[in-house]
Amino acid sequence: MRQKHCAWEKEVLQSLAAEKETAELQEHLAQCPLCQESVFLYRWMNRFQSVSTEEKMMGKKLPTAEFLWEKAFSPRIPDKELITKALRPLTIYRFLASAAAVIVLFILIFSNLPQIQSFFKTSPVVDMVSSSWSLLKKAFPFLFLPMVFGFVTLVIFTIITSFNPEKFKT
Amino acid sequence: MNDFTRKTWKESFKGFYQKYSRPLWFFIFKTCGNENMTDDIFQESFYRYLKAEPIKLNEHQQKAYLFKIAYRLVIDHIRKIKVEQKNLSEALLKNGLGYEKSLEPEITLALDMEQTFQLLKPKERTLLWLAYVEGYSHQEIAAITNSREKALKVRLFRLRKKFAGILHQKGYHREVKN
Repeated sequence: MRQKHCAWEKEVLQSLAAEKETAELQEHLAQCPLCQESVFLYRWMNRFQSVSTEEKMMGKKLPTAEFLWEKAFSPRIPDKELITKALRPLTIYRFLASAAAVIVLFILIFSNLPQIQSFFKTSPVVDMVSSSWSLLKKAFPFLFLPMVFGFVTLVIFTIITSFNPEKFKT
Repeated sequence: MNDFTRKTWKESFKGFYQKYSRPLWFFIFKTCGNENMTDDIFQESFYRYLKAEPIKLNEHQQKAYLFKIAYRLVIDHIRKIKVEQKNLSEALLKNGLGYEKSLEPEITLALDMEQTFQLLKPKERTLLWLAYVEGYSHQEIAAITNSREKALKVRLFRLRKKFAGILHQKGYHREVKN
């Protein structure tokens, strides 16, 4: 079986790294092809490292230790602008839902309370809207239920989109 | 961790960073071959290292732990972008790995050595780098690369043969020995 590992290899490499080659190790090195190969690779790799480090690291700026430390341990302050930007789709829908909820609530109350209807009938515009709504109601009596359902949905949606957890508060 | 311990650790971290930041950056760069990716992985490695708070480990173990994090991140990145990596490696080999083309012998040598090293697979480059540049033992390399020591010894033996063959073909045997 071919030998794959030499017991001296570690010592040989350590002595190379420390630049302290003893006569015993040199003697072994002269006889051991495995260690010779290791030494050859060691020298090549370290030459490669020093040659390319000089070239590549020249002018290369690494982040400071402080920066990395802060990155890891500083409490993250959320960026207000980013939060606004991220929440914009929700904000728009929140506004639309609130507006729709108010309108629907108004229509529901208005259409079901005759006293209010008579109060608003003093205005010709409201009267016109009221008449149109009454016509619609007569033509489509099933409108009331979906309207209530829609209103409840909109209220729930408004509550959900108004949810503002602690982590977003600055 | 209390404030005092953290403050002490912060001071020792500065020294640790000063000592190992460049070797780590270079280790990542030599394995993945892409400078931007290296910068990202470098920062992420230190971030994870700090978050793990390995203060109970000694300096050598901490370094090994840091390299282990970096190695895993590199392998994950390479897996994710295997196809692009292949194209990138080809492009880098073709265009000289970002080095300015120059007639200066040192740079030509660096370029040639880099191209030779890039003939190996990323995992093979990692093993050689850890064994011959960072000076890790087989046991430590096995821990860093999450492999069995016996299998690693065999792999390293084959790899050494393979790379020594490549180097001999390229005529490096004379230059390095001299």
